[in-house]
Amino acid sequence: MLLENGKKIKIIVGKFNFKDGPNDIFSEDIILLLNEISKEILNNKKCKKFPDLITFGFWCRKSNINKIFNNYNFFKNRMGRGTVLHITPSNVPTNFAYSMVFGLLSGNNNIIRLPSKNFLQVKILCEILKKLSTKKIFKKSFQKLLLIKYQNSDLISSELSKNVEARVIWGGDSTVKKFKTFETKPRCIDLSFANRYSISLIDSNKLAKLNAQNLSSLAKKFYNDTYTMDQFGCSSPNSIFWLGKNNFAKKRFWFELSEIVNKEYNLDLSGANKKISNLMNFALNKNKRFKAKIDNFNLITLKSKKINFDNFENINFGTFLEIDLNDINNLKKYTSEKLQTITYYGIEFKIIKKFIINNKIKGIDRIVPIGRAFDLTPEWDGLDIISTLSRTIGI
Amino acid sequence: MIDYKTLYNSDPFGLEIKKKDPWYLTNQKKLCLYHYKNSNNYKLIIDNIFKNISQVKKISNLPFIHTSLFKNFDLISTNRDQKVSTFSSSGTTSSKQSKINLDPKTSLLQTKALSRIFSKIINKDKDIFFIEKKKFLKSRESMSAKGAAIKGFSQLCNKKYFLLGSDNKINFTLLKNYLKKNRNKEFIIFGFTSSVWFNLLKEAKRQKIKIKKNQGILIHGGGWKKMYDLRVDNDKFKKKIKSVFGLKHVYNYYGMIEQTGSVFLECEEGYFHCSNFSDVFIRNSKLELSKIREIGLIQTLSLLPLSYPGHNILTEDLGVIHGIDDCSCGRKGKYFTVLGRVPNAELRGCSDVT
Repeated sequence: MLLENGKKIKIIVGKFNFKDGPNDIFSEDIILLLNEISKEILNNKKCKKFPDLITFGFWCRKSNINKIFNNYNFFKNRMGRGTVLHITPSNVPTNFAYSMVFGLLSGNNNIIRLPSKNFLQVKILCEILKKLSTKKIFKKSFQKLLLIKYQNSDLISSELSKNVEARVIWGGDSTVKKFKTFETKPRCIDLSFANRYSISLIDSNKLAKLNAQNLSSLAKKFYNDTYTMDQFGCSSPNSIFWLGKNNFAKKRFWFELSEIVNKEYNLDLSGANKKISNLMNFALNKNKRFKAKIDNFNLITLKSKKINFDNFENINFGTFLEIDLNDINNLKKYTSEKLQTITYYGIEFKIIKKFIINNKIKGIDRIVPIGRAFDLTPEWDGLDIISTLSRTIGI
Repeated sequence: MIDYKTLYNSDPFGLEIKKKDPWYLTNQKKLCLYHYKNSNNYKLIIDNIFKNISQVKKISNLPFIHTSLFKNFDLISTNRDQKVSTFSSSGTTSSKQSKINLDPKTSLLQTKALSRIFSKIINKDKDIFFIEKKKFLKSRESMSAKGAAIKGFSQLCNKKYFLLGSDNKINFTLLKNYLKKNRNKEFIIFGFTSSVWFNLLKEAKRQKIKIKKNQGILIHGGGWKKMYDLRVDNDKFKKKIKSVFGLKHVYNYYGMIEQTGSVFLECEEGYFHCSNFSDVFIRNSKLELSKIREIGLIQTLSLLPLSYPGHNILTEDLGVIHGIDDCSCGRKGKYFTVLGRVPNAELRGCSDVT
């Protein structure tokens, strides 16, 4: 329907002219389709070695989708906006799948640009979708879906942007900026996910009360939040802010973490090169003062009393700033609107919420226990994706 | 401060590691402390990331800095009002270039070091050809890495010739006439690897020039990135050059703009050698020292840089140390090979859509 230069676009699943929609949010046939996708993933041997695929498989089960639905079932007057364009990041294999599910659940037709890199996870998932698309019972649902690939092209991106009712733009500041320059319909809504950073907040006195096993399991959760994506995910904490002065407990935590890291983390020479380069460039940028502990190169901690948080996205691959706070209110100077997630242990949610309000903080859109940094929920970056992608009918 | 007297008067490849290490540690440490006092940025790196320099007891434990810092920051260890020239790496392929602040003293040390390292290959009996224009030595660029090489080699040789005409074309007639008059005489050609390949060889091919066997020796180094892109490795390079120009020997050296002068010379067996001016370590993905024959990131040390903290650098090159003191070429010390640039890390995470 759209393109003169449609030749360059490779269609992976679906067709360009959508015949259906808008629909109710959480429509029965979509939930049925998602459950079938879940089954296919969980029964597929090829998926076994991809934890991110398995996680997605469990996530899109009927029971879990119904749980999410419970937050929305009072919205009797909601339906989709029309067609949504999803621009997904090139380096998180399963991100497109979540974006797709949000688009479907909110009752829309969806054009999804897949990552240009050839991830096996993407390939497997597309095979599953292709297989299901031939089944009669899902025919209607697949009329809402178009998965495409194309090499970076402003022309294609701007053409795709012209006729949609909403865009979901992952990929950080530069991608968002780029897409803002393309013409859209006046009423087109953008969900833009800019560059963010995330931190951990731990009360060391509460930590001290954990037995060895629970401490180790907490460290494992922290490991999953950080090392699985080399700390590059924007919801991955890059620092620990300590409340309480129990230095022994802090040491025990770092020790438990290093045990896990030394067993499970494999940095290659490219990563090592990038890691030390980032660290040294970070040190010289804006005259920062800290004391690095690099004895175990897999787990670098930077202790600092005062640090500038401006250029914070650049330290990765298991490098953590460590800052002691006398009081939660001292956290204020380290926050900005770019702060996305706080993962916490030993502090209550309501105390953190109070801190945000008392200190008039613009950032902090997620407050989750340690271990749940990557849990993708419809509430992301301070937006409710399903509500935003659907429209409310005044009655 | 640094024991340059011993350094310049000894055989640069004559020291066994046992004798070299204690002497090298003392001098390299002095150099670290010198830069610590004179470069704010260097001090910041040491204070933030490394242990106290004076307490270090092994060369490998001395602090290094990552080569990318020369691209992103202005690193200088001397007063700016002194006569300092800033040079950029010749690399045209990457986006950012390294910037080096060079003062006349360091420049002189580099030139002299180069002549010492090549003293066995080059001597006063030989004439030398540079793949450069005659007026190069009068240009500002003459203080650069290339300038240091040309000046250093000139001092060692008898007569010097410049092969590049003012029209930027190679003057093969000059070379041919020389060969007619000087049959069986050893002579040198010097050029950067890429200019040997892209100027000398390309032009010879274009003009269908092939020179018969002679006593010529080519010395080349630096800038392999373009060659890797063309999938030309050291062996292929050597064979091609020898066959077209009829040369007797081709010597490669490994060097970088941060450590001009203290280059690593390739021996007859095909290995790069440390000299008394330099040292090398290979580090694994935990930045621990790799074992002999184990691949890792190359760290290079030099005693020459005074006006900028380039004396101990972690490069982005991959390499392997093959042995110490026992190379069959007879040179003492560590010998190694270079395997190319470390690939870019696959970045994960949610930014960047391509």
